[in-house]
Amino acid sequence: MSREGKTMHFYLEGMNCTSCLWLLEKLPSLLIDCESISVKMSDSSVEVARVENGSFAAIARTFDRLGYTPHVVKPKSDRAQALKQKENRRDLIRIGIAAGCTGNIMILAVSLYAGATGHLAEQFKLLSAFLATPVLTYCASPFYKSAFGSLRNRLINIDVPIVAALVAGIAMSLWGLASGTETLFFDSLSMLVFLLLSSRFLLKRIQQTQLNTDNLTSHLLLTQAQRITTDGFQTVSSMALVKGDIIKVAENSVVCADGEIIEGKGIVNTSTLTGESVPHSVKNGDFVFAGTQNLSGQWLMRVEKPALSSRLNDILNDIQKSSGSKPNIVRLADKAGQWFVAIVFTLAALLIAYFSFTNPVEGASRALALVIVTCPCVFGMAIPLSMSLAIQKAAEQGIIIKNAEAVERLTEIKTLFFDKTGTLSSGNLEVVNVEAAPEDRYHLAAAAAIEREQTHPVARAIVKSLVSSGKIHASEVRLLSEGGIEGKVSGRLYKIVPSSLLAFDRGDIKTQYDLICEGRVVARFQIGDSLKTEAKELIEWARANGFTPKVISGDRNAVVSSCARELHIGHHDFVSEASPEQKSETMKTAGADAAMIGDGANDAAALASAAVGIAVTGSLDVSLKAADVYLTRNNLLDIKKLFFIARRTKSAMKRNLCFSLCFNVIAGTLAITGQMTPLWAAVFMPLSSLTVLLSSLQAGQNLSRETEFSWK
Amino acid sequence: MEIIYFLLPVALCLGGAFVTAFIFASAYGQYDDLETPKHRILIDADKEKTK
Repeated sequence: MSREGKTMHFYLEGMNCTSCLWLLEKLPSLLIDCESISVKMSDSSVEVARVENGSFAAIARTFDRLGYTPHVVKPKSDRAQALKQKENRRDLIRIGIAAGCTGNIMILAVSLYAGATGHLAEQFKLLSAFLATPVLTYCASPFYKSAFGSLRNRLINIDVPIVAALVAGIAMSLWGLASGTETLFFDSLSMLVFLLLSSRFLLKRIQQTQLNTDNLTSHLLLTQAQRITTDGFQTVSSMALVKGDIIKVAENSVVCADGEIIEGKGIVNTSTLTGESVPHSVKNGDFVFAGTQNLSGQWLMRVEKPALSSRLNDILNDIQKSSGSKPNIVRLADKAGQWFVAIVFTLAALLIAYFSFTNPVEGASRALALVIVTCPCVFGMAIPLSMSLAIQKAAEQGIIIKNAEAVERLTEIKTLFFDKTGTLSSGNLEVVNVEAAPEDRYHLAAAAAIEREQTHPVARAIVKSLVSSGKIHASEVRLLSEGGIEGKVSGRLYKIVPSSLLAFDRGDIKTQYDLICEGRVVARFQIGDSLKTEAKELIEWARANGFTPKVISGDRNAVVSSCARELHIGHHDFVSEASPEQKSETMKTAGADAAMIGDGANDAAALASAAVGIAVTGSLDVSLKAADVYLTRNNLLDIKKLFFIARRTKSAMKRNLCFSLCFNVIAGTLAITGQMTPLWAAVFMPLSSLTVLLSSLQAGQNLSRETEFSWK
Repeated sequence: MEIIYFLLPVALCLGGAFVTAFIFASAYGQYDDLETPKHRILIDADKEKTK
């Protein structure tokens, strides 16, 4: 057991109130395995230390019992953690210094504006220059760094105009100080730096706590494992396994490592890795992967790759890497802001050129006013903030939105393409109907007895649907070469065979099995894949809200059409027997207003080609790589929340853009015509950024109030 | 108005002291977690001593 560390980090779902904190901090007194616990509510994480020989599995089970689904968080390297913490603290210190200095500068500035003159005014000016020095050098250094970095790459980012305004403002102020004129901007420049630093810090905090997909990834791999040692089994955390360990995989458990089966057999559901909903059997010598589920049987396996280096983990890492390399929120804003910046600089250059022969000072002054007042704050801060808030609200509802562009595209969606298997239906084989005359129902116990030991998916479905006393036993059970099974129960010969009579009156029925007792059919098991309960509600909601729901499935026409009928989807709106390529082609031609909602490997291409791909839990790897949105709670109704959040965010962004446009046009005109001095420009610009920031925050708060109101 | 030459440095020193205090508080992690303590304050202290 020494291979496990003493502490472990968990991300706990549903930890959000004071009583949670109270309860969790009590854990050491409730549970003997837990020595101490440290709760951090800002990112819903806890760090637990176990006692000597304590079990993390027991601790995790307790979390689960208390109602918090625990996910092991990969302990970040100490270095990375320390760096992040250091950066956060440094940002805070910058803000603190900027606030302190700016506040004092403002006090001095008030007396200057009020008309202080003479010796005192001179000293106040010098003093404000002195106070502004740390703000404009140390505090503003992130802006200089970012602007020069982007210029070096021949790009214009949002910091370039800010730095241009800062440098020009400082130059003019210093010149004003030296020549004794009125042109001092230390107050406004410091205020600018303080406000920009604060809003960016806020943005970063939200992003750091909310956009962390680690939480999502590791919960799949955490379970307890039965490790075989010289003296029997030992229960350990799946995270503690190493290569070469022999573990026992019990029925209905998730395989927690990649490895080779050395003894036993079973039936595995590999849908998390392959999206294949039909389970297949495995035996000695077969390789099984972490994340797959053992539906029946049990086996011993030799661990080749433990959880954190398994194929599943590689896949999840890939996803994280690729979603990290996609344009993130800030870069998206940069792109939008570039045009804005280019236009403003062109206008400023024209102004300088226009006045260069008549009145160069006036030209420079107007150009500076223009550059300062038209800071593209709405691109730099308001849009990213709205996006972050939307992503955060969605995450709180269990919806992972991988990139901010998806939020925008979601609002354009008019058509929803649903995959059937695994999305609208549950994807597992189930007995949807048992046909048996009342006087024949006692025969069903025989079916349960015969199938009890069998591992075929149909057998599992039959056993699951019947309440078996376990008292009746079957003898002489053997598989029939033509398919099916027979056995003797209470002296009578029973057969369970695929039905020769294929009466598909319900389309969700895939296949039918007959229970034959001494030549007479006594019962029929109709086996299929039933619709999820929430599917109908979602389709109705979609129709009521102006969406066109469509079904696109690789399943047989009869199955899909009956499913469509049940959901009142017209025969023009469903496609059956579609290959993955066809699905993808359909989504490509469907245009920018079509979203694909699917899961499983066969939908991956379609999810990627759709304007927005929404993956429903069940197939993690490929879907998650291809899709923009991932529903962690496996609840189709989350799609309602997703669209609600996206639409609200879009309207808040529109409002902000509209305000910003009006503001920039009016203020820009005033600056160009010389009505606005650089001084007033520097006062108005932070005011406008503050307005859009507060408006975004307000919209975010409304969003959380409304989501809580409408969904709880 | 001569008093201002005394008051001004005092005000600046006060301001400086608070900024310094803030810098130290940040550097020692006072603001690392802003969520938990505000909840913890609502929890009654245990009557009996728990281990």
